[in-house]
Amino acid sequence: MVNFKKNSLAPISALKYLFKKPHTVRYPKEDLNVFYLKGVSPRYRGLHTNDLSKCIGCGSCAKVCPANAIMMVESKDVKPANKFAKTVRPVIDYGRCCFCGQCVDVCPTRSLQMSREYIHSFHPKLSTSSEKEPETVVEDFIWRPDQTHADNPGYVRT
Amino acid sequence: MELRPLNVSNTNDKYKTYELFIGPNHPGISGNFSYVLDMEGHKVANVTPDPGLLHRGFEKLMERRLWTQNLALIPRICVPEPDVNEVAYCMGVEHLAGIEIPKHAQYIRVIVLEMARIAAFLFSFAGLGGSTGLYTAPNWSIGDRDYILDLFEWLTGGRVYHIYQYPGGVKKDIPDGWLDKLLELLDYLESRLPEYDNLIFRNPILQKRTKGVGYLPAEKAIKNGITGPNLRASGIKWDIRKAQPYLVYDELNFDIPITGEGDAFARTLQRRLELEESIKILRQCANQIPDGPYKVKIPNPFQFRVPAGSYYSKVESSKGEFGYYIVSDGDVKPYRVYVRGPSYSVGLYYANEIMRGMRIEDVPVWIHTMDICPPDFDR
Repeated sequence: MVNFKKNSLAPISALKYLFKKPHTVRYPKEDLNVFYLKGVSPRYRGLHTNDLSKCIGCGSCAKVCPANAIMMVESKDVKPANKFAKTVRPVIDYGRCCFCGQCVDVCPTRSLQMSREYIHSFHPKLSTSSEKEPETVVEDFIWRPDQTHADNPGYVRT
Repeated sequence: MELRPLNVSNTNDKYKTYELFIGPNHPGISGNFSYVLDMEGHKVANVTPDPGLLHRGFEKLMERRLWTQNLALIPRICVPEPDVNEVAYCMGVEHLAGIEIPKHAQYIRVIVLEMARIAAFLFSFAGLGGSTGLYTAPNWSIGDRDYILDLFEWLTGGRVYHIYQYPGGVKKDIPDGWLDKLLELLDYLESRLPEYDNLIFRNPILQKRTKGVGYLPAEKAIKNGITGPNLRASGIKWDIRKAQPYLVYDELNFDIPITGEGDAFARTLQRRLELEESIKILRQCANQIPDGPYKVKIPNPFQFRVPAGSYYSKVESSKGEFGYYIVSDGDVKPYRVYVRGPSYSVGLYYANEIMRGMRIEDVPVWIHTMDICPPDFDR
């Protein structure tokens, strides 16, 4: 229970808070030091990674996506894994993605995973003309996941 | 020209009342919700709740999505405490589909719910501090809440919207070393409680501002369907965790504290006392959680058909009874889902009654001590 007794020294005890460290971290200089890995959680749901040789192009991720952010696009640079596999691969629109991780849960080959990369802002080069700027941003936002972030795995289906 | 004498009030009806809009751009209100107040001097003469800014059509959206796809959507219904939505929905779906979830998963659900409850209580202290001008309270409680969010991030991968529950259990098991960190955090939170008492509850200014404000008698609370800490602060011992135990609450040892005064101060104190009980529950869970599987296998989302029927599943949230009425017609999508948010009866219905005659500076205090969460009812 709460103690409602009065104490005349109580205001002086507030001085100790002057010497406490803040709750926040100074982000670019410091990083969170809560988990056994530096930075965000080991299960963080960040940008996707896709093992293009393992993926069979079944399209389950596109079907289950609650935000309709995934489309299956024909890719010429991949080989089908077996005779039933297709050569379409998921392309993710990060403007629509809500990072819920359901595409990872449903992936039958476990090729689609999520990484701990979370910065998905893209800056077009200063030389880009204003007419071409939307296209450049779209190119960066609608992106076919590959092994770019595979060295930093986050949310992985177990 | 004849001047009106200074001591005679203006009797012209046109200027008797003026309209005051308290909306999302005011610091006193929580969420994108607004009240239109008709003021007589500094007293509220009439109040019109003005919902609509926050309406996102959740219930209709849920009818167009698969049973499991909805889990990415429903945490958005209650922003400060999203886990109650996931758990209540999953419990309803499991009851309809006849799935019995393992003990280990039930304990994880209780841990998640109680952590969310503590986080929501800390958030409500921040709201009270903001509405009474005690700005140290938000700094402290939001800072401490963040340590809970850190543990949530480790367990689930998300800080605010966890998307962690799944029909049949939870998505992932507890990681190694997580429970030790949880016990450490509970020790820390418990050591902070006397400091919160000194800052908030023993503060004479805050006591003066909250005592006697927004008095809610027990009969009116029952009549208006108010639940949770607000009802218990009026002196009625009703808690779904005790009255109709779900998950493993019947195996845990905890009390329901009661403060009977029914005013704004009692409601805040009620939350502070319940926070202590939640710490007790979490300690027990961390010590007696059994080993075992964390989920049972369910069919893949495209084939997951829930047998026809309807069920009302409810969970005690930090604001009151949070219910999901789920109707299934045996398809891969729900036929109808109705959400019963705990703030509905307070923020929309009882507000009309209690706000009349209230002073204008008491309105934000009333909103924050009632812990009104507008996304609950304006969804």
